[in-house]
Amino acid sequence: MGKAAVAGVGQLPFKARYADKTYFSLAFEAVKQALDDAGLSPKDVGSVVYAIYSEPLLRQGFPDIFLHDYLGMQGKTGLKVAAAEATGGHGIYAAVSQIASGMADCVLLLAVQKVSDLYDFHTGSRGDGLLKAASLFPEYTWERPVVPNNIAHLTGTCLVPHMDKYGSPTVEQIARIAVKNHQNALLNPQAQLKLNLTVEDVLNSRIIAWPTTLYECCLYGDGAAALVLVSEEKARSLPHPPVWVTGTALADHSLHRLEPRMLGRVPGVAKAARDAYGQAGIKDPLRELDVVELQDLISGLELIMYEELGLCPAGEGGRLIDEGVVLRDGLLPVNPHGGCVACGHVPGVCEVSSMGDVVLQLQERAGALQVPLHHGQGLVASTCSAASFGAVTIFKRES
Amino acid sequence: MEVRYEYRGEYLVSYGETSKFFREVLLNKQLYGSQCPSCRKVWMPPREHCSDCYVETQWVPFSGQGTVLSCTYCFYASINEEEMEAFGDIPFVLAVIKLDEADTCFLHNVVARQRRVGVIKTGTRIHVAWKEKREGKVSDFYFVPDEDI
Repeated sequence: MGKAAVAGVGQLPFKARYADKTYFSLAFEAVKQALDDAGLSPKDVGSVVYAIYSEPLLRQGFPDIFLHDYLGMQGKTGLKVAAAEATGGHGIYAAVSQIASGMADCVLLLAVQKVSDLYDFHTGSRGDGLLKAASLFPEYTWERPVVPNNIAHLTGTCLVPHMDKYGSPTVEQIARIAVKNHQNALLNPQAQLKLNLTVEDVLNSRIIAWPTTLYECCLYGDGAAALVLVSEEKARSLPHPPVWVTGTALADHSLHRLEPRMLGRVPGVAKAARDAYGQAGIKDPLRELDVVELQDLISGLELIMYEELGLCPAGEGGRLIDEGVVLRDGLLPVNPHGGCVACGHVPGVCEVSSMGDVVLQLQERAGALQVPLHHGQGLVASTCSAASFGAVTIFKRES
Repeated sequence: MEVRYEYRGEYLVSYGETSKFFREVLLNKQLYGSQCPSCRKVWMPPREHCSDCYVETQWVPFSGQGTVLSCTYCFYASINEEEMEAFGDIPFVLAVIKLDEADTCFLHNVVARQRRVGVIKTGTRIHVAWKEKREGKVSDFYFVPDEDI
């Protein structure tokens, strides 16, 4: 199997709305940034993976074929992947597979999503328009008529059972995770929401689905991000030191089948992490990684993900925030860019952007967001709002 | 420049192999699950095939009694008007429910007299209740606590 490296990163700021851009232009700008960063041109690209999470939200079936033309990729391989909020993780899996198998030596991974064109003409709200369209996502026959949306789903099937079983995380620990990520976003020029919040602010904000409060919920918006991935041979002649993808694994575990033993778990992430660690030769992730980016779709989920990623034993996620382990200056910073609650949550895009963030960290190009490097390894993990998909990718800089 | 567009998809959905479940809900106020003849697992929601054993399941009636395994109080209504009626006022309870005879569980609403966080909780015993006007959907029924709370 060949090795794959990230050669270039393109990221647009997360915004509640890009009124001045269509998704074509957002995609183009992210791709141009990534190609420029890699010192490559569109002609060098052999294949494109489109990580596009939702066609209904974008108001376009098969957007990949129209983008393929706009990006100057006519006649080349194009592959669209969609896996809810784990779309980016599935996308890099597809891109790395093409390089590792020798089918391509330069693959462009593009994530783009524009949801802010949705509108509810009855209420005059774009947010309501989005919620209405997103109601397609719960299982349609058995869940949609009785499940209001994903925040309640994730809180009811994952967070509350975990709290019941272990007595943790506590509501204070969950709020501290939200504060950590909101504080981290203050330093991030790409972040969508910059609020200087305290634990009290978070706990006193509106309850959305008890115990999850408003400031513990992910955002929604528009954005685009791109990575250029290349083979080992091609990586040697590029401007930046290559960052290798040393592990990439998927494990999808539909929690529409709600078995009592799976309540409170994110089983896909646990399995994907085990597989990715095996590929990367990681035995003790807490002490071998320098940075982790994961999807805090609700802040309580972040603490449960620590456990699923093997950063601590089951039931002890709260300890990592109590002891400051996951803070920007802690042993293992988690979501130093602000996470989904503050930096932005554009499914597919936020993971590919997080991968770009980790690559920039490992190349010491993260500016004010730079974390100390000791091992040269970082991780991106994602799931979805029903905790069903699991994707884990591990990056390592040239040693 | 912005301009109005509207997309609306309408469906006349076949429940196919799950039709019996909804017919029984609609006509007889009876919940059914499906049991695998091989591993004996009882599926709810029912499925025609046991995904573990790859054999056809058999219909089994439920008593309608069950337990809340987990729940959250939702402080917002669904944006879809047709379903708002099922949820009632906020906060409403979205619960993971395990029926006594089933091995798998499902999400549904529990309606108690008091709409207050903590009234319905993990371990609360519940039973099925039926809407007067039913249309063959999972929102034709809901659950209420056994205890008058």
